[in-house]
Amino acid sequence: MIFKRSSYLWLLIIVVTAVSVVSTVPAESQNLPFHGFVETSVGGRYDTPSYIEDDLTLSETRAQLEFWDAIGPSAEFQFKTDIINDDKKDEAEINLREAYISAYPAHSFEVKAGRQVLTWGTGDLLFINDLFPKDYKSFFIGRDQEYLKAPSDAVKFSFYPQGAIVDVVWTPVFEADRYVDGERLTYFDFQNGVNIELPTQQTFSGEEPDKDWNDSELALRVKKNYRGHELAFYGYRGHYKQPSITGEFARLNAYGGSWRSRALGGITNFEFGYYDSVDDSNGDEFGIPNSSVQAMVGYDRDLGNDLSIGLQYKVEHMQDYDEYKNSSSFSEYLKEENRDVATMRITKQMNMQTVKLDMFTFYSPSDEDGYLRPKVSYDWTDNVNLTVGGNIFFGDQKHTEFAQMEDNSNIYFRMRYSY
Amino acid sequence: MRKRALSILIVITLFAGLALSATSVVAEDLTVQEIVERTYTAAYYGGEDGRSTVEMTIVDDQDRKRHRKLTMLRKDIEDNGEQMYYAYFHEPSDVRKMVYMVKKHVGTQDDRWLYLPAMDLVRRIAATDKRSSFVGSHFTYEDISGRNIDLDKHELLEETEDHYILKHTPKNKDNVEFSYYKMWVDKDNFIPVKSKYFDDQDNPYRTITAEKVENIQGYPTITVMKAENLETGEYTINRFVEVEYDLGIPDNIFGERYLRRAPRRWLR
Repeated sequence: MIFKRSSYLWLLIIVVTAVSVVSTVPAESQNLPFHGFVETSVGGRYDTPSYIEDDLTLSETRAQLEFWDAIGPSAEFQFKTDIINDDKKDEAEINLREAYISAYPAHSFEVKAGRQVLTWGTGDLLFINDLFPKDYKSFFIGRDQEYLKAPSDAVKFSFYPQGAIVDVVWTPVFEADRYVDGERLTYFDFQNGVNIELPTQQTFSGEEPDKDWNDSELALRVKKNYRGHELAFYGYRGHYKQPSITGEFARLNAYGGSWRSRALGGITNFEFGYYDSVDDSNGDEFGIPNSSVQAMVGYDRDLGNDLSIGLQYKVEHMQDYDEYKNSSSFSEYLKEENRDVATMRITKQMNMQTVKLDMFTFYSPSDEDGYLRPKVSYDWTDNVNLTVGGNIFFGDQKHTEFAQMEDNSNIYFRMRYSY
Repeated sequence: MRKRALSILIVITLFAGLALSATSVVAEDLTVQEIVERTYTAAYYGGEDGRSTVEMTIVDDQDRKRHRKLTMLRKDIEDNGEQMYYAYFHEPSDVRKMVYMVKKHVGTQDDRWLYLPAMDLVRRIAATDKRSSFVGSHFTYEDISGRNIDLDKHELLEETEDHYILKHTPKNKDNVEFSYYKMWVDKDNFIPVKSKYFDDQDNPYRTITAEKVENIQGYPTITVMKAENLETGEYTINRFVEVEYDLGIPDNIFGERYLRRAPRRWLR
């Protein structure tokens, strides 16, 4: 039952009333010192297996507040926080999303310090050299796409020598991905060979690295746009962002590059990277990921009439596959030596771009599993948006990345008022 | 320094004024191509660079209104040639702080980027369809940044006391929704005061009109512009406020550094 909790119902009523009242006020008359949104979201499984207690995966009301101001001519600060009433967890929380000072004291130097969202690389929902924290839980339950990127508490130094960009990001305390841990979303338990759901208090959690200097993260990017050809090189020193089966965030060094440009009547991108698993150079340590080579290519094209298509293909080659096979305790549930995934995004806008249809599909030929993300979004007014979408997982095997999420397939609805 | 800048400005203004009056004197001898080129320059290449804030009102057939507000920076590499645009969105609030950047090329596709601040994401946009709507309005991308003059065949239909009336027929009809369009050009300042789009049956279905033209720093400038769908009665009105030319915007503003961090000195 969606409306079991009366508090939820009240919140919904308040939000709907507020939205209908405020949306009739002309935009010019609103001069608030801050911006943001209020939204309510509900999502749940449409086919819940008996071992899972709850149908609902998402039921929350969220208010975002954003405030920006200048500090003199060469600095500024930004503050953005979410206040959430989470009916799924039965608690209210405040999540600081951004709180940073950005200073640009010199012609070719900038620094941005504090809590910030960081993104680089060329993929669309596929990442190789972007090793900033991601919130896959939010992503899989249908929160807005902005929540896929979790914030980092970091300092970003940027230099601009001769039209190039050099970014150095230092994250003193390792920031892991927000991975699927059994709360809300089930995952495959290799030990017992079944999918499991865990109560909030007992979720799976990896043992995060110490808060030592040498466990902090360092990420580097050097980028140059040469006549529309965007070339970049990346480096990373830190840890794998998700825990291994044994709950370890193993050491990781990564190196890579990317190119993006106009080509073949659309946008073409290519990105590659080498993940050096520092603590498992031979690939025979159980519980530590093997080193891998990763590469992806993408192509994006506008077909006219507000219809566009994006295609990507990514492959991940495990370096010491024989050693991995020999060292694994779960010979039934081995990963592929070459895991590949193809994606397709089709977007169509209609009704003066107020209706947006978006279909993103992941399919892995090697794992024979996939993930569909259909979404319909409607801008009812300039301020009110309604979104309906789904996260649909499928696959034959129990343990592969998307197939193990099959029992979490869900649909969601969201209503947002932005101000 | 300021004095010198001021005197340069005066000279430029005077010169521009002279140039303009000169054009109207020699206008009679202009070829069609020259008229088209001057119109293109007057409409899209005023000054070396420029800034304006666009207040857009989109009205549908049930009289419902939507608003957009963005600040646009423009810099020309050469007149009627390459150009750079930087558009920073203020409204509506769900696109606030988003930046849209274009490097306009001649004879080849433009380069376009979109910055989404909530994800700190710089996305490259594949936008080949320049006839699609600009931010959900009744203006197309081509209306905003200009339709390449080489794409059309141009004819001078008529010359009235105040206007040249031109007819533009696309050389390749595959990529456009119109069969041809007529344009009324002010003979004094080469501002296109009205464009009318026709379908295959010679029926007009769309107009773009300059509702108000002002002289700003010596450059004739359309400050109110309307695009109307004649079939549905829907329309969009763009008001250009705080228009300024020749600000000396540096080239590097139109790059990734300032996509990620809005250059507030230039956006003001």
